[in-house]
Amino acid sequence: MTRHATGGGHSGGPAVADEIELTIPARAELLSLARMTVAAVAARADFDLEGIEDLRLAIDELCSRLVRPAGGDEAGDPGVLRLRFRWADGELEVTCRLHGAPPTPVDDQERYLSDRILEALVDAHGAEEAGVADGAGARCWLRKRRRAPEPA
Amino acid sequence: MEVRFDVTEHAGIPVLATAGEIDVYTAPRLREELLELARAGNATVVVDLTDVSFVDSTGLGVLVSGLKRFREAGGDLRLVVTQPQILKVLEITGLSSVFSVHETALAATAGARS
Repeated sequence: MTRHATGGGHSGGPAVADEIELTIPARAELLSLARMTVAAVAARADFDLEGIEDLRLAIDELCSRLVRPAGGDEAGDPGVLRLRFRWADGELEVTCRLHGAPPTPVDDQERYLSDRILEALVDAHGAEEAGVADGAGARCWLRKRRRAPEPA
Repeated sequence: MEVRFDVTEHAGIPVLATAGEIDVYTAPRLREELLELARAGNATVVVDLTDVSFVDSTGLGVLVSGLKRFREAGGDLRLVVTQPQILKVLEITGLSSVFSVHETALAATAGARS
């Protein structure tokens, strides 16, 4: 895992962006690492407990589309998932890019449920199923803003 | 992340107590447990998610498929859910009105016929 920070401290002054990257083999059993990482990042970015749980589920939904299911019959290298977590000024953005061949798409029922979950839990999300110019494969992303504190 | 299963019986109804996290990695094991209960001739089952800390769309998909199978056989698949995050996921996917959701296994098995 690598960490990049631009600017100074966490509080006061202009908005500062922090960034963390996580690279893992695109295997189903390793998705828990993506959930653990987003929980830690969201806590650091001062999301409340509900926001952290929302992000754990949202990142799972995002990445599940890019990993091969356990016990599946797809052979070969599953590829690598590169996740980038970037937060500044109360907003967390996660980008997930698969370097490798995409898995078989999930069935319609699961995709419908996954879309409903993402729409409810994050402020924006998107996906590019096709390959991109730099040779990487499918890419998904989401953005979620921290909930404003209750007025005193 | 592991998932664990334990089958007990309340009022003649099998209760599949599940613990851990249900995601794209562990959901196939839940599917197998439900298939086994169906193959054993049970019409109605209860899936107790009290000790489940996480369910994603893959896990929900397995539960919905199980629900269809048991209802087609004239029975039901009922849920026990107490975790707020899982109740929230059922709500936002519209599944809270599709499943029979209960707070305890005792309530879930009351009046059911296996």
